[in-house]
Amino acid sequence: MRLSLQAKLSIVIAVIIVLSSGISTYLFTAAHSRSKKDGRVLRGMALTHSLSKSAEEGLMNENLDLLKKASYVIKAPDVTLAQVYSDIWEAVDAYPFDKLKELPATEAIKHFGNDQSPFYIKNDDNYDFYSPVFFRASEEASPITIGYVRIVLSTSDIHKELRGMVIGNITLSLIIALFAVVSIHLLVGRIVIKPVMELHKSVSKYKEGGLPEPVPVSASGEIGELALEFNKMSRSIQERNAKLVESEHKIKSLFERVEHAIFGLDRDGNIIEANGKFTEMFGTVKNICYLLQSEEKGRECLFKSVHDKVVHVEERVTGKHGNELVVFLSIYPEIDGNGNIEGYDGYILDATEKKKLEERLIRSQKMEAVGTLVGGMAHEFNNLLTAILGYSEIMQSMTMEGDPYYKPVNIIHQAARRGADFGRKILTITRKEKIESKPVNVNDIINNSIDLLRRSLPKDIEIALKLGNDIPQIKADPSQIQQVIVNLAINARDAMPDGGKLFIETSAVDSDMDVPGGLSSSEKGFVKLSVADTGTGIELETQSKIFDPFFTTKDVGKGTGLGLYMVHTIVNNHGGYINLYSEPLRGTQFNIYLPVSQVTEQEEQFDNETLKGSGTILVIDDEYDVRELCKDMLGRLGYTILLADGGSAGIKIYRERKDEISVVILDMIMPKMGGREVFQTLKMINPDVKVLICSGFGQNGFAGIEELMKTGAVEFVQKPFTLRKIGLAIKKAF
Amino acid sequence: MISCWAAPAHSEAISGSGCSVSNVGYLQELAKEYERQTGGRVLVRGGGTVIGLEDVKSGKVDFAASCRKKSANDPADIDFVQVAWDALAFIVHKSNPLNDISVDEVRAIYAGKITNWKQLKGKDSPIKIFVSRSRKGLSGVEGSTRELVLKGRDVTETPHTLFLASSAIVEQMVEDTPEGFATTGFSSGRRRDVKMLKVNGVSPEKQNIVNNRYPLKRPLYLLVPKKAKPEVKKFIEFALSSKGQKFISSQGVVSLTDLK
Repeated sequence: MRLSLQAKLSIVIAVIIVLSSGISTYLFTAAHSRSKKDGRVLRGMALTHSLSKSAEEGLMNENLDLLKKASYVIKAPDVTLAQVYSDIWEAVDAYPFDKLKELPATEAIKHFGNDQSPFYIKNDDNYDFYSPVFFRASEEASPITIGYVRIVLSTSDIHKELRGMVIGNITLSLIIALFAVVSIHLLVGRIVIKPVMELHKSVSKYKEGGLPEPVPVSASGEIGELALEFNKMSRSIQERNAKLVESEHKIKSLFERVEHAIFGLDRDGNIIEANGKFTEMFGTVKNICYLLQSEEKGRECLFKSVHDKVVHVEERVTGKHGNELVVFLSIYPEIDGNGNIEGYDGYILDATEKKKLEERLIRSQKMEAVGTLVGGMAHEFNNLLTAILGYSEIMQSMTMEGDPYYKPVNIIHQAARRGADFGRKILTITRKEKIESKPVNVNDIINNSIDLLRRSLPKDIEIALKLGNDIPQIKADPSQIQQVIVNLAINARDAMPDGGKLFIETSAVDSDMDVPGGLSSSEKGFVKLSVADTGTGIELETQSKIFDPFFTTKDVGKGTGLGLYMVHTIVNNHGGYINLYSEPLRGTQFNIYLPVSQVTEQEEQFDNETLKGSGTILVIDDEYDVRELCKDMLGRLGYTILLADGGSAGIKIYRERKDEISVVILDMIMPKMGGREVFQTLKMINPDVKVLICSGFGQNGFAGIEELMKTGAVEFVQKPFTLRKIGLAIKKAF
Repeated sequence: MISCWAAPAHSEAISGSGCSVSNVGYLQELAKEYERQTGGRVLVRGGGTVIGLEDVKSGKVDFAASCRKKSANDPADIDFVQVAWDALAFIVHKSNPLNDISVDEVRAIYAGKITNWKQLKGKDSPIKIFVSRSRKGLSGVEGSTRELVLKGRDVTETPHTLFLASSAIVEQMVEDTPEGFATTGFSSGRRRDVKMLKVNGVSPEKQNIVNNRYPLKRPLYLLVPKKAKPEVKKFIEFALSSKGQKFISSQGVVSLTDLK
């Protein structure tokens, strides 16, 4: 049986109290009994002596009243018998009288046979006292015994008293023990058990998974200190727990926030844990293997992860909506101490967008290469055209209608113009041409193009316009934007051989609106231009190649493979973005996002008369035709022209006649000494030198023109140029 | 009395004990008279014939008194000297209506045949019989009763029979007990506050004893060792002298000379 601490203490204390009380009671009662009995003996002796004195006269006179004289003796409460005997031990009188026949103790008779001193016998419940009754005949005479008196003193009152005392003491000790037990029970309960039980309760709660709660410190001393220490401990556990919870919360929050889809798997690849991103990407897929293109491939991944401790792969997986995603998949096996696989965990990073960007980068690099090639060609071409166009123009002014050269010159001039246009287009698509951008409204461009479109499209294609109101202006080259619209319309036409509907839409898109990836943000937002058809649609594989140069699905001779490439390039050159949505047999929609212009600038209008001026201009160009053209064209405008066929020659002339020369027209691409080197030398000679850069490459090309413009060149003129263009540029330089 | 005993004596005092009837009846007074007349001190006490005999035998006292005659068991060196006469008397409590009793009725009481006073036309109460008896020998009154009344037979003990140490005590018990009955000596009984019953119509009076109308007469003795002190012999002589006899007779006791 298990006893509680209270019960054990109570029993021990009770036993101690009862034992000590018992021992002290025994000692006390023994001493008390002894002294009582001693007192009783003395009293008995005294009473007996007194009775013997009274009996003397009575016996002498044989008077029965002899005992009555000693009434104080015989009426004493502890005297149970007073007796007078004759000297031959025959009862003479007795009190109470009915005990007259009570015989004296034989020991007494024996004692008085040879001794006359008082005598007593101790019995269990009484003392039996005897004393002789003496008679002395005279003073000298020796006393004779004439009888005996006997007094029996009860000792039962002593026993009774002692019994009462013992009972009293036992009762008292039991009461004290009971009181002590109750007190100890309560005290121990209050001081020890209650606080300990509080601790126990708290510890139990902790054991069951709760937190240990601080207990009230009600006791002092060891228990109190224990409670204090326990509270410190529970506080520290609580703090630690709070940190743990916080840390868990952070981890959980991180787990849910990260861009990685994190998962935990059992040994069969079943998903047992996944974060929000995972669910967002893949929904409630049951097994990781189902995500991959084939289940075997999934098993292979898991196997490989165990073998290599980890696996990192790039995979095409199926997303929640059945869409294909390109992901980086990492799987780590969980292996126990015995080498058994417990499960796996890992993460998936969506790389679809990254992949698209990569593809775009590759494409733009491809286009850059094409552009470089084509641009180089166009440069040469432009140099040739500059001479043809310039001189045909001069010749035009020199001939009149009816003149035999008039027609040929005009034809040459027009052909040269077309050539220049073509060159410009080539440069446009290679981004080598400077964009003649100005603030325009896309809606205006569309409205201006609509007649052209109607003429270009068959009658069974209906054009539906949905132009947004309050479309902000963009900074663009209107002819290039028109080119974009026309190219897309032609593409739509080819997609709808049996007719259909062509939608052209515009709308304003806020800057904070989610715009397609890769598009740099624009503070003022974008203008969205959509061109959609109800045609055959574009296959998914084709979609990624559609903007590639020279890519075409059309029959040989029907398409150049440059239409959508041009669209893409123009949009890019305008800082915009293009994407498409296509569904086979349903149609295709191209969306173009063009940034809203930052400032609205008003282009200065120049009058042809204002082109005229005076002053000396130094032309540095390695091309003879260009040098001569400049001399002829600018001479007509009233300028004095100095020509230099290369960088060193130009520098020489400028050094000699720098005070005279107002403007230097400098070609960028020259053998031996490039335009940049010449420019820097000229700047050293005269920091205020006014240089006009002239090149067959576009301003944004890689000829370093842009850099020169920033370091002090006053103007850039694209070859081939017209009189007006060059004239305006010179005016600006002055 | 103690002061009396403590008074200085001219010569060595002698002492005696024994028969209560004698002691109460005449002996104490005779001792005083002796001292008055001779100056010799004699101290006597009762206790009964048996005590007297024992005291004398052990030398505790110089002489003794007895109211029975010498028996075969008594020591030979002690002489029984008659000094007076006595008669057995039947005593009851003063309040007892009974006045007369026959010897047969007494015998019937002692035989346990009559146990209630109503059998003697008295109240309906048990008869409480007090008998003087000693374990150590034959009491004077009991001896006389056995001889004169019970025809040699012993007293039959009943629940209402109480044996006491001496006649003096028996007499005092009857004084205090309304239902009491006892046999004692005429000499001491007449001095007690009790009723002495007539026997066969004759009341126990000195004259009736002297003229033999009252029966149950018996002698009273003094017991004297053969080697007694001279003072003892002197006292005995006084008792037997005419002066002594005259004094005994004056005490209401039948002296030797009264009966001559």
